[in-house]
Parts: sequence; C-alpha cells; structure tokens
Amino acid sequence: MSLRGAAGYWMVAGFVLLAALPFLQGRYIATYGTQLIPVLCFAILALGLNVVVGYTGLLHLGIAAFFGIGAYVTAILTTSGFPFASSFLVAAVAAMLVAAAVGVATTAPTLRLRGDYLALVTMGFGIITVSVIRNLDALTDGTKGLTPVSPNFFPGFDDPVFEKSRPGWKDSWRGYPRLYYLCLAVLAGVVIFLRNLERSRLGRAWVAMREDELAASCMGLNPAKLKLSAIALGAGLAGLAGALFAISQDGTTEPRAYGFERSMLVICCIILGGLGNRPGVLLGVVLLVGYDQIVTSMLDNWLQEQKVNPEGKEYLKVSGWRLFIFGLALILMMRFRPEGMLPAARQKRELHPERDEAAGERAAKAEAEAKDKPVDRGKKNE
Amino acid sequence: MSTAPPLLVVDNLEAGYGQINVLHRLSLTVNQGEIVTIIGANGAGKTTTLMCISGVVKTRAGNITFDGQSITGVPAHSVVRLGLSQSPEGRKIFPRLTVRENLEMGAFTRRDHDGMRADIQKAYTMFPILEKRQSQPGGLLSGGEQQMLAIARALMSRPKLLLLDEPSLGLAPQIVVQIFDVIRELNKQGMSVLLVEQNARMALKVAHRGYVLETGRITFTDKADVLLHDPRIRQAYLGE
Repeated sequence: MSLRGAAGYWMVAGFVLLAALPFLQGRYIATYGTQLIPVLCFAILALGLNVVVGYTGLLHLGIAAFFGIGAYVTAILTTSGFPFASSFLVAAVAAMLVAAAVGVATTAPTLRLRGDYLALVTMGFGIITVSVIRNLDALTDGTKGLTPVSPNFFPGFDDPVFEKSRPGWKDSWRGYPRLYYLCLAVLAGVVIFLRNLERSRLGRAWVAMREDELAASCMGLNPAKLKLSAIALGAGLAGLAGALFAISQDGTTEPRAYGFERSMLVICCIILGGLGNRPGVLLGVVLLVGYDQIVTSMLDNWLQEQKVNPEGKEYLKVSGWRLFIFGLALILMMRFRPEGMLPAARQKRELHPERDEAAGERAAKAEAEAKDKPVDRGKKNE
Repeated sequence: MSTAPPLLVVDNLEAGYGQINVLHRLSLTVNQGEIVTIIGANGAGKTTTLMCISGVVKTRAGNITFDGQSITGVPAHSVVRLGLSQSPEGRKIFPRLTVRENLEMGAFTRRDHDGMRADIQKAYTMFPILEKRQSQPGGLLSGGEQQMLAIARALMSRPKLLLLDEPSLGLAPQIVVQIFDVIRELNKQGMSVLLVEQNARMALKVAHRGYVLETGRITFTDKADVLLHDPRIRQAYLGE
C-alpha cells in the first residue's frame, strides 16, 4: 500500500516537472521537448492497452492498429485532400469512436478464444490493418501517408494566434509547447478517468473476469459484454492517442509506424512497468519510449560530435541496437522482477506470496495466541 | 413438504460435450426448503447437471423450470438474477481479490449497498475466520477457508436456491463436518439447496432427498435416510 501511495506521489511530481519543463531554459529543452510529445501520445496508448491486457487480461498484440486508425481518421477528416475539413476536436472524437467500433467489430467474433489463441488473432489483425492502410491508396495515400494535418482546434472558429510569449514558443496551438501541454492535459485526464474507473463497478468486474471467468459468470457478470467494453475503451484511447500523434507529426507518417513492432513496444512498456498499474505503465513508457525517442538520438548526436561514427554506420549507432536492448531489458526483467517495476498490489502478491504469507501467518499466529484460545474456551463452556 | 409447486424442475435433460452425451433424459425436482443431493462417482455427470441448471453448459434437450419460469438456455449471468446461485466445483474464488472483495463480487447483481454490507456482516458471523482474513487475497486462504468463502460468496446474491458443487472436495474431515453444519444451518433458515457430492455419507446425512447418478442416468431416488440404509447404495457408495 505504501509503495502504491508513493508511486502516486511520484506520478504527480512527474506531471508537475513535465508541466514546468517548457519554462526552463537550456540547450536541450526546446529540441528534446518536441520529442516528448510522441512520448505522451504513447503513454495514452499504453494506458489504453493496459485496460485490455492489464485489467481484463485479454492479451491483445495489435493495439498499434487502433493507434493507426485514430491517426488516419484524424488525417482524413482534416487534410485538404478530403472534403471534410473538420476541426481537431471533431476529428479526435471521430478517431476514438471509429477505433472503438473497429475494436468491437473485430473482437466480437473472437470472444470464445482465450489466451494464446486470442493473442494470435489480434496479432494478425494488427498486421492486416497495416497492409490495408498501405494498399488502400485512394483513402490513405499508400506508403506516403497523409499530410499535412493542421486543422483548427475548435469547430467554427479560426485558430487563435498566440503572441510569442517566450523564445522558442511557436504561435500556433500545434507548435511546441502548446501541443505539448494539450497532450499532457489529455494524459492527466485519462489517468484520472482510469483511476476512477478502476474503483467502479465496471473496473472491478473486469478484474474479476480476468481472475476467473467461470466464477465471474456465476456471480452474474456477462463476460461477452465485459470483454467488448474493455476492448472498446482500450481501442478508443488508442484512437485518441493516434489523433494526437497525427497532429504532432503533422501527418500520419508511414503505415509502418502502426505495425507489429509498435504494438510490441507498447506491450513491453506495460510489462516492464507493471501490468495493470497506472504509475507502473507510465514508468514503463518513460523508460522504453523515452529511451527509444530521446536517449538514442541524444547518444547518436553525441557520438557524431565525438567523431566516433563520422560515416553514420548503422551498427555504430545506438538506435541500430534499440530492439536488441528492448529484448535484453525484457529478459532481465522476467528473470529478476517478473511483476514489473511498479506492480499492482495484486500481481505482487501472486508472484511473491511468501512475503504476504509470512505476514499473514505472523498475524494469524499473533491473533490466535491473543484471542482464539479464550474465545474457544468460552464456546466450550457454553 | 408443502403443496407449493417445486422450486426447481429438471425435465428430461440431455447435455454433453462435443460428440459425447453426458446426461441422458435426466429429471429431478427440488422443493422449497429442501436439501436435495445428487451423489455419484467421478464422471457420472453431477457437475454437468449443475452447470446446465446454472446456464454455464448449454442443454441439448429437455426443460429446466425455476420458480415457475423456464430457464432453459438462459445464460449463466442472467440465471443469477433470477435467484439461483452456484458455488462451482473447485471453489473458483478470485485469487487476487481480497476476501471482502470476493464477497462484494458475489453481490454484483445487487445495488443496495446497505443490504450488501449487512449481508457481508452476516457472512462474517457465519464464518468468523473470513472476517479475520477479510483484507487478505483469496488465493492465500486454506482450502477450507476458500470453501467457506465460496459458499458465503454464493449467498451474497440472496438466492432462493443454492447450488453447491462438491463442497467437501479436498478438505480435511473436520472441515467437511463444519461445512455441512453450515449447510444444515442455512437450510434451517429457509434456504433450498441442491448439493452435488462424492462424499455420499455426509451428503445423505444432511439432505432430505437424494438422487443417485450413474453415467448420466438417475438410477435411484428416495428419501435420504432410505438411501443411506439401502444395501446397494451402502455397497456402491458408502464402502461397505
């Protein structure tokens, strides 16, 4: 419990630090601050996946497809190639709804699959979605991706133009750091929403079903409904993350960005951080995506400056080794701390029951010595 | 008993898995306020019978009527709402939820929080050990404690009929006695119980009536004390 509380405080402190970041002056802040925006998008994506995998226990290996659907829906609704010219607000809501609908539609036929079988189907779904995006030229412009994504924020209003209040601040809401603040605010909103959801009827029903589906249905829980609602929420959050990502990249980038590799990266984040635990998931994202997006490029630049790698050879770049390093991190994690860095209290109990059992036994013994004997005698006397 | 219509009527039930039929035209009734037991060997179809009644396993033919209403083909999560609660075989408690959370899940169909809290207190009075362990995860309880939790959890939906599947499974004889005392006590308070058991002696001692199930067919049925003294039953199920 104390660890959980501490994680909560750390999370708040992290948010405050991130909010203060654009006000700090420094050589790296503006450069790498922009790169924090995708990290925030991936944090929302990971929290969405955590609803499906962490709370409900459905191993979904194609979450990046919903991320991509969100990005493409946003692009289609806002780029000049299409007649919609929506605002960002409308596009983001549409992205969530479409992603959620696709999630429900693709999960409904697989409701009876469990464990590995479901994982395989969802992996296939992720791969197929990327192929569809790549080949549906009329809608997605193939491998080129849709660009530019630069909508107004509100429907019916032109973008407010901000006076540059500080050096390095762009005057559009899509520039750094205003978009950064938008993503940070959305992420904070998602975190608070999920915290409340965890304690709700629905959140507890998900957990119960993950624990034991048969018992849960004997308690009056409808497994089909619960699974679909979890996937709808997870996919919806992924779609929202995709919408923000498309804005931040000023386009959808190439379809490959929504493929299997990205799904695995997000899965790695939530496993590394702690399945089912929000602060853990966020820590996992900060470590893995932060490493992937920021630390590797920092190191590469540094190596370049040091003239270690003047020709830019792949094997001398840190980024060339990123997948190897992810794999190594996961293996070490599974060996030494399978519950993740900040596990949910429940998972920790399961993987390290000896701590709890020892505590429980001690408590039971103490109680037995203190209470049980006199009570038992009392009963016998009756 | 009374002239009231039976609480549960199972009529010519057939069910199975894949190509194999497990139950063959199985019929039974449970009256209001009765403890009825189904005894039989491993693989006779006892659990399948219960699973059909609670809607977990689909029936292939026959009718199930509960409280005057057909529940044939009604899914498990809806059956609970009608007042039929099952404590499944192997206890199936939620291992990572605490004891109290397990009980709260049992009351998932209800929305009256005060009544729920009162019922949790009632469960603690019935099984004091659960109160002591209320904030421990269910998976850390002993087998007997888990069984108590499973029964208490099944009661949390305030059922009219309680289905108990092998409550004695894997428990020490002393604990089994304790569990059966609770079943008798519940029945005194008016609960109707359908009890599936391999421990035929204990089951027949506590029940009013019994059914003997052999490879998916009811072969004997009578008052429990008659079955208890029937030489064939004694030889086949009571080890004499």
